[in-house]
Amino acid sequence: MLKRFAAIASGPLLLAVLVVLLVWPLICLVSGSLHEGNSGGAWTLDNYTAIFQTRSSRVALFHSIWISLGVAAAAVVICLGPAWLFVRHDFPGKRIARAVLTLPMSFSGILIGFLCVIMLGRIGVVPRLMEWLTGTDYFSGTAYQLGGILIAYFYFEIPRATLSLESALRKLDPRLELAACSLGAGAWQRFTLVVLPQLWPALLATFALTFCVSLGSFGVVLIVAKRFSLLPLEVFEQIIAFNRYPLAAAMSVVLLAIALCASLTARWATHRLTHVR
Amino acid sequence: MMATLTVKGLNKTYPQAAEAAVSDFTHTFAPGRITALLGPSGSGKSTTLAMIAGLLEPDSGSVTFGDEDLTRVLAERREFGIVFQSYALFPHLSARENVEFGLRVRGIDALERRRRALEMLELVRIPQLAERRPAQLSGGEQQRIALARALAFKPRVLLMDEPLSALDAKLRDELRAELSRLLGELGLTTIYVTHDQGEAMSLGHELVIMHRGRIEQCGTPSDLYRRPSSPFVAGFLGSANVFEGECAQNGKGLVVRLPFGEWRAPTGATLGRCWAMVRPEQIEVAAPADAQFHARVESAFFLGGHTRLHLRVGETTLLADVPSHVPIVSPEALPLRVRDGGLYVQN
Amino acid sequence: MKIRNSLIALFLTCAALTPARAQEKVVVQYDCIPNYANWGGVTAQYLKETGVRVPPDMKGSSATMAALEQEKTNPQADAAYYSAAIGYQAAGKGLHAPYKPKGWDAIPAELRDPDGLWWTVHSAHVAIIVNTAALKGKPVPTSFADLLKPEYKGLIAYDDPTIHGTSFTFVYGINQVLGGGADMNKGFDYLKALDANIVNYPRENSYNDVLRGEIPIWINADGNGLKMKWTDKAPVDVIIPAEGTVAAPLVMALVKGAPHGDEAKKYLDWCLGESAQKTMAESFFRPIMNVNLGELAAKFPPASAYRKAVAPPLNEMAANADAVKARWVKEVKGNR
Repeated sequence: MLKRFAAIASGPLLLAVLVVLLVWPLICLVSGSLHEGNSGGAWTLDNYTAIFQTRSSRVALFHSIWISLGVAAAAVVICLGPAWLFVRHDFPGKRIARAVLTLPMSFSGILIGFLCVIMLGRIGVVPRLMEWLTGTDYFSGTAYQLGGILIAYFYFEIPRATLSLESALRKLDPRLELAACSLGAGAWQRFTLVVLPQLWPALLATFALTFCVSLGSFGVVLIVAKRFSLLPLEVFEQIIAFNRYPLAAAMSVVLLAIALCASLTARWATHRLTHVR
Repeated sequence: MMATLTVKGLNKTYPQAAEAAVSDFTHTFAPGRITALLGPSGSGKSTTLAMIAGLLEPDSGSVTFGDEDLTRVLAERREFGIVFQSYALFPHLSARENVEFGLRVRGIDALERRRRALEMLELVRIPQLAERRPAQLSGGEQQRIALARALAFKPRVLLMDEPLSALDAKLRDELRAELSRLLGELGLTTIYVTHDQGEAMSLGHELVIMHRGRIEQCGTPSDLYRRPSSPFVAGFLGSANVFEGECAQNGKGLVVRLPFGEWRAPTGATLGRCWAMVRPEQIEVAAPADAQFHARVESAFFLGGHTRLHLRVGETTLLADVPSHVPIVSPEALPLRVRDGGLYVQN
Repeated sequence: MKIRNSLIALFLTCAALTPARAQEKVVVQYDCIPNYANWGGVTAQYLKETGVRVPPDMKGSSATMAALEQEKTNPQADAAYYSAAIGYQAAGKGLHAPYKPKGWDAIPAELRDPDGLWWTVHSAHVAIIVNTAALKGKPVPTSFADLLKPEYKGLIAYDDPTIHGTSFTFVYGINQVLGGGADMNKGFDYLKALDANIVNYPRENSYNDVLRGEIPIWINADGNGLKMKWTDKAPVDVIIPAEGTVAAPLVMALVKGAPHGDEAKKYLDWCLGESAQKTMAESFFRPIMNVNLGELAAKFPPASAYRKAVAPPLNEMAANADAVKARWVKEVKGNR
């Protein structure tokens, strides 16, 4: 009786939470992006056209997209290695290695940014080591350049990509590879003909996940970026420096739309790969 | 002339295991024949198969095919076809593409491999399912495809690991008959791992019985049935009454003393401790005058052509299969005898 | 029934968790960066003297104004601290309530709003703060012109002026220091040239980065550099550039609709009192009130160092603030 009641009660409660935490803020955001002033005013699309007409925000949008794409692709490809090792092999120090790789999951973007500065800042650990080894402080200040942003975002995505790929690899049946082996397939053929075709959906999903997280991440670039502004940072600056809420809202809606497109595309592609032939 | 597969001194102990999974496995597999590796689960037969296939590295020992030493050769270079217990079909490929796989990795062109795959599917009698995915097929159909896939690239040896154990009883009998036909036509050196003695005896030209990682005995099925080398083999292959006993000399010659009587020892028995086996079908109901011993019938199971009796003589229990038409006239003290030659004694 | 019960339970839980905080008196000051003008020391002193907590807040001047504007209908802050021009601009937006704290009359008229919408608490000057150890033997720059030399490439930073008021004061005032006209072109030409040597425009306070040497040259308020030198005993030189510098008065205000209004007034009064003004001076921000600084006084640069300092009118700075920030974003930061 109590259980049924709980079930009946939890439905509307969930719906209410959904409305309060997701639907209502989204409506406010979209509506805000379609108005002229900070507190209402006439309906307009100017905020959206402004994003594409203003050089800095256009460039930031462009950078956001290609940096996120690049980082997501790198994360998927590179993290497949450790994920494979963690799932299929036992080696001394595996637990520690896994902990080290997945720990940044709990770090905020700002913390990652600071770590990046500590390692690759002007007097970071790496340039000082380089100076000690070679006499020249290579990588000094890399943190503030494009390379630093890419490294920091990549680092930010390692745990997400690794964990996501791990769970996909765990679902793979190793006996299929043994079967392929017995049929004469070498390691590369086993990977391309057996593992990869089964893994495509997971790779796509991981790509979409890391892309969306990078696209929305703000803390990392807040700390390290000098010239490379990304769209989330533009949102922040439009609010902090210029009080232009409608423009900031429009930028947020654009970011949301891109993230939504990415995950829908990944889903569609997964569906095609697994169902239609 | 077909080359011979020879395995010498294979050993394998898994990390952290107290006991060796396989110790000192040595056997020469008869070319073109089916050898059944038979044993209870955990006896090391699948481990042995995996080492022969090259999927598992032995701690020591060698595998040779003809004069080619395969011990260090990778599984993918051994040209051995394997049928797995779980079928292990590629879920993302159709039945035909599964069968083509071995040809595809060998670089055979699409038309030729399609022709060969369809030929194989004809052989296993499911050409109509060529374009289905494994998920759309029944267990029996999947097993046929697994077999077609393992044969398509013309392997030198066929290895089968409990291929029928995942199927239900009726399908198993059907497929067993078909396997027997097919393997007979192919004349391929085949190793067939099973824990089912019926399967092993009906399919295997030769049996290798494994127990706790070691070969217990090998030989033809009828050989092993009649002349088991140990009480384990006696009990594992078919039903058997097995006893500890002693061979002794009395006035008439050498006799065997067993819990339910004294018998003249068969030729070959020697003085001293021994064990003896009487198959249930070797015990018959006798006319009271011919009775060698009497037993109480504790229960009787009608099994169609024959009836299985659970008998008791003093402390000893016995199994006996008697023709169903023989009446059990005095169940409290049934007169019985062991057929001539029905007593098997080993020291 | 169940929902009501759970709501009551939730309420009781929240109520049980809050009393410790509810009894503690708090004044919320936006832009209360512990490493800027010794706000860490000032708020600690206030807690010691009165038991009222003023939590740290990392917003810069412009971020403070943006937050107050956003919270206009539901104010969260009681007091605000700004670079003067931004405080002036915020007052114009109607974000402040008029208040004339104790000691009001002692503040020079040009450094306070006649209606009490803002008033100066202390002042500083823009300076070049140099971590000499991090320069590794390179000469210490002595002028703004020196900063353009290629040898300082990647060694210089100033905070993002769209967020932090001191940097805005610098970006605005440099034009006048270099003798530029109303079009501000001279100032922006300098900033654009300087951009080549800039390592970063930090959005968070950079005090610790300069102390460590991560940022060897920081254009910021002289007081922060002097605190590094005298209090943190760091190898830091504070250079008043040869061309002159920009005066950077810093103001406070009472937030309109402040949730703890009465406590805020007591706090704002205290901030102009002797103990607060002295504590602020420990970070070498010159107190607005005439307090006896004792031996600290000797550690301030002599008044002669600021001979060539300019002080752009606050009304003009405030009126042009948004345009200058936008131009900086477009021409300096956006100059890729």
